[in-house]
Amino acid sequence: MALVFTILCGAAALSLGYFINYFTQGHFIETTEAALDAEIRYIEALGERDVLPKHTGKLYIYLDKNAPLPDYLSSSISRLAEGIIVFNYPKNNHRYAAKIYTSKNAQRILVGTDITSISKKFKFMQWLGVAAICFVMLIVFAAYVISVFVVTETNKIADTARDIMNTGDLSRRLEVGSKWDDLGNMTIVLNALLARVEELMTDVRQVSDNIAHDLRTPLTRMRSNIETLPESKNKDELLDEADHILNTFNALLRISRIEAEQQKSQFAPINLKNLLDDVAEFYAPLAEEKNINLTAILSDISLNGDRDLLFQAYANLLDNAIKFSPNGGTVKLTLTQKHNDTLITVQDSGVGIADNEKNKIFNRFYRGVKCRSTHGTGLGLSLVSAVIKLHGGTITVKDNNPGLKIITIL
Amino acid sequence: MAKPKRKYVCMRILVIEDDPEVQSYIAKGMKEAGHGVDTADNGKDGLFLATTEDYDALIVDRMLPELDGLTIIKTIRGAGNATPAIILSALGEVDDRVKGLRSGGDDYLTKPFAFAELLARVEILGRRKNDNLQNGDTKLYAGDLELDLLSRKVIRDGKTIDLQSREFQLLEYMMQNKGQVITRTMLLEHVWDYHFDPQTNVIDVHISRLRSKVDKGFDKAIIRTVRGAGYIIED
Repeated sequence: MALVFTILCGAAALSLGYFINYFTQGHFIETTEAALDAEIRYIEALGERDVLPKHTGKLYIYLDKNAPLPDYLSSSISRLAEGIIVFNYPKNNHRYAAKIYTSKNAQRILVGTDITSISKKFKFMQWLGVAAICFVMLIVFAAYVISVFVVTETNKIADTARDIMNTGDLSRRLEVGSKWDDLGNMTIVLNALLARVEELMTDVRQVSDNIAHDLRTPLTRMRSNIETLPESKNKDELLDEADHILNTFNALLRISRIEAEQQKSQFAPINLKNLLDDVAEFYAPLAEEKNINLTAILSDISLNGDRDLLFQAYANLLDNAIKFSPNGGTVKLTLTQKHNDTLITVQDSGVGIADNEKNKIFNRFYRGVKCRSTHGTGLGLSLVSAVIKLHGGTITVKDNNPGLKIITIL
Repeated sequence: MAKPKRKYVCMRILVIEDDPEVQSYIAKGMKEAGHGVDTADNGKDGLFLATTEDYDALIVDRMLPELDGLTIIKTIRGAGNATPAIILSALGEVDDRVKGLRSGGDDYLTKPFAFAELLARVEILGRRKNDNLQNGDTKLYAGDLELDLLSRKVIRDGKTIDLQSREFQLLEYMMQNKGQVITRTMLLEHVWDYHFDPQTNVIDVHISRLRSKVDKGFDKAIIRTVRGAGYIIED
């Protein structure tokens, strides 16, 4: 960008300089020629009287027929334009532009006009033009240097900001290059913003930790009190109910923490094939009980990730797929590499979901119309979505006709 | 509470927990299970007891007044004390678990927990301290069931039982901890090696498949269900 800008500016400066030069030179020639032509017409008007006018700044020299120009002229002669010559007149050391006029009686007269002052002005104009170009080039150069500085500095800021976003490491700060310029000022302000965000995140964590501690402890107490009750049908129901509340609560806290902290400390290279094999193997007996044909077609792919969270995510997806497939249905788990993406799909042959529900199923506590009655917290897919996002992936839902196809790209 | 018949090991346990109800609930349960219990309700007292007395296992809450649980464990480990310690915490994230185990804890249990889960884990930790005899053995026995770790064969009453590799691992882990209650979470952690929370009770299905191979057609069941806790293998 900076380079393109510089090239454009340079081109503009050059064309401006050329234009000034061309315009002044053209104008100079035109006026000189006009003055000479006027003088020649004047001589013509005088006719054969053989009297030459005595205008100031003009020069008239009779030339011999067919003879070359006198030596004192030809030594400094040069051509200005078609039919116009320029020379130094040694008698007064002025500079003249001249045309040769041949009168009706074949008398050749050299008609000259003094251009000393004009040519001085012209020289000055030329010099000014060159100076202007130099100044513009200087400005362009300065602009280039400044833009390169600004671009590298902003890129540095953007890179660090992206790093912070990706790693979730809010304790990092932008590097302050200098304190005097606007960019330095911006970095300082952004750092203050980061500090504030970090403070807020710490607060949020503190609050959720406190909630966890302060709410879970009494819940533990309640659960243990129920546990000490004498055996009865009620007791089991109460325990189930307490466990359900606790599970929901834990799942919710877990999702918030995955989303808020972007914790990647457990990231390590893992073999996705082995992991998904384990998931499929873990659910195989469940599928067998429902006579569901569970197949896993997996390519050998490894990536960086959190194995426990990924296992949890695909366990949730497979759990759902088996839960919502009818007896004798099919569930398919595939892992493939497409370009740079790792594709993992889970397909079932269940009831599927309506189009208008497809985006909502990842919302917390959202439960599809068709599955309100089944057991669950309504948080399973939210957790999946949070885990996939943590791994920088995407998740989409499509119809499998019949059933559902969930595609995750890592 | 249904108390399974256990191989009786009396342990001396120190409970460091600031919530009086949780503390008394753990202490009461442990005493009922036949263990001796000391308690402390803050970090300082807890550390003092842990360093001056000899215990078979420590149960330490992570968040404590005066001195937090991780620091206590780090301190006693630094002093060369290897008493097995189990950390109790309301923080259940993998990060926290890893931090807990790195600081020298032997196991990590997230609140809320079923008492049976805590008891099962504490007893396994305590037993590990007492007998490491099994390390050299290549065969495990439970009643008339024999599991050969080298040939990976399972024989009951003279008949070879064909097991899939995961079923073998399940049986192996339970037989290694014969006489101890094994909870579902413990099976997930040790047999599958993933820390996660299955939405459905898939573990029960795995166990019932294993049972249909190991116990079907025999008078006495080797694998027993312990209500509200998990499973146990007995002679």
